[in-house]
Amino acid sequence: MRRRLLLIVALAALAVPAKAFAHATLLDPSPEYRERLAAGPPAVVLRFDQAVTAFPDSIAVRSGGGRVLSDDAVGAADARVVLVPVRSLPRGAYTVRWHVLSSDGHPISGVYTFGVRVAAPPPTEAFGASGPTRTEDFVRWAYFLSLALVVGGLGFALLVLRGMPPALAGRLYKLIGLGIVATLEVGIIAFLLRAEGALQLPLGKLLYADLTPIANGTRLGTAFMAMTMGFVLVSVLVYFAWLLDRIVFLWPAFVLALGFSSGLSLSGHQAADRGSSWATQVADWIHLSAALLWVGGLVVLAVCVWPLARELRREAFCASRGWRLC
Amino acid sequence: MILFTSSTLHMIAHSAWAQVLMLAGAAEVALARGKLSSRYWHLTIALAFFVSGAASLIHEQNGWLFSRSAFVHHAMGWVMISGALFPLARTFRPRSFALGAGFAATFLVVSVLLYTHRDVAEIFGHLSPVAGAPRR
Repeated sequence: MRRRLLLIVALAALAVPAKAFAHATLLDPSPEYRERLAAGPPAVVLRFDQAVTAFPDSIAVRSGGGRVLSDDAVGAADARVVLVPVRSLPRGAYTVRWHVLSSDGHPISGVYTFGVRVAAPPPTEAFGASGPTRTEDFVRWAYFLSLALVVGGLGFALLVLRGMPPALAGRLYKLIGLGIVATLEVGIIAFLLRAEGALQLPLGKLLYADLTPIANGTRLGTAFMAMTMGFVLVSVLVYFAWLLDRIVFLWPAFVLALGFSSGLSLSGHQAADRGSSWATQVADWIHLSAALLWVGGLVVLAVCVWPLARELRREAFCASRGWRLC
Repeated sequence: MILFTSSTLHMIAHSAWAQVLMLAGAAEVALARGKLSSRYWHLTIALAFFVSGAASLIHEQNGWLFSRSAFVHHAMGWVMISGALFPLARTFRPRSFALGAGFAATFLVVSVLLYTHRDVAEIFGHLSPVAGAPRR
């Protein structure tokens, strides 16, 4: 009982970590991220957590066509607030791009959207945003391959091998572990590339850019957050299976990996295409899951099973063809 | 690890910090259980301390006395970087009492610093007016 209580207290303490802050952070934008307004606002107001220095071009409000509809930005009596008067805004979607100087000397920037009598697009579709680039396409494929290693590796072990044979266990765990690490790292790279496309900033400024609207206001951001946390949980379950030699931990890991892989589908084109519905999204996820199992299974065969099955290899490639070299 | 999206720098630093600590914890438990046997796996603790300290220093752009948060980030960063020497040396001299004590003391100091980071612990007060209102 006491041990359980200690465990609960420890988990609760971990769930509320101490926050870390450094340079200024945008706390309260008005209009808010992706807010749908009934009428155009008289001004865009940004409230930060620390004092900031504003410039005349600190905030630019642009129409969907790129026309600047804001005047010069001014600082308010409160040094933490910057605002810009906005001309009368007709019905449409608008992009706010801002940059201020934090009191630590670093330029911090951000982008977000709002709509007047229309739904605001995600910040990744703000005016001036670009992408997806060829690099992002490549990273997306790398993300798919990483997921395939995890889902295919777990699926092969549980559905084909019905366990972890001692001869294969080491290689299989390494392959699945590699897949989990790659999924986490490639996910971070994919998210940052998408953010870079939306923010359109050089690396020096991108480091201090506010990613919150992209993390919370886009399908990719939501999928990225959920998948990262989900695959951390998968890594814990796989680790326990390896550590305790208990295959039973691999089943929830497999189910979670399959479930969280849907983020790749839900953040992709399928969920955004015209005519898409929950049924097409489920179909796309099933398609993706089958592809992950198939590709991952092939990799397991090539990397784990193939090097250990000498006799089968000889039979498959040599005996049937009469090769002398084998 | 990726919940700090207030800036790219925060996200990368917290992500790196979380990952190396997970790796070090996993390696230590596996060593204790006998799943891993090489003593060099203990180096993951030194790596975790070093990366955590570096991440803390790199993503704190303010000076030491800007705010309590800035002070704690600097203090914790340097404590962890210097504290990384204890697990590093312990890998090769595991029976040394001094190294073990230094290792334990590092944890103790970091724990105290983490506690003082919270605004409910009024230890350092509020240092700079430009740092904004204290957070709770």
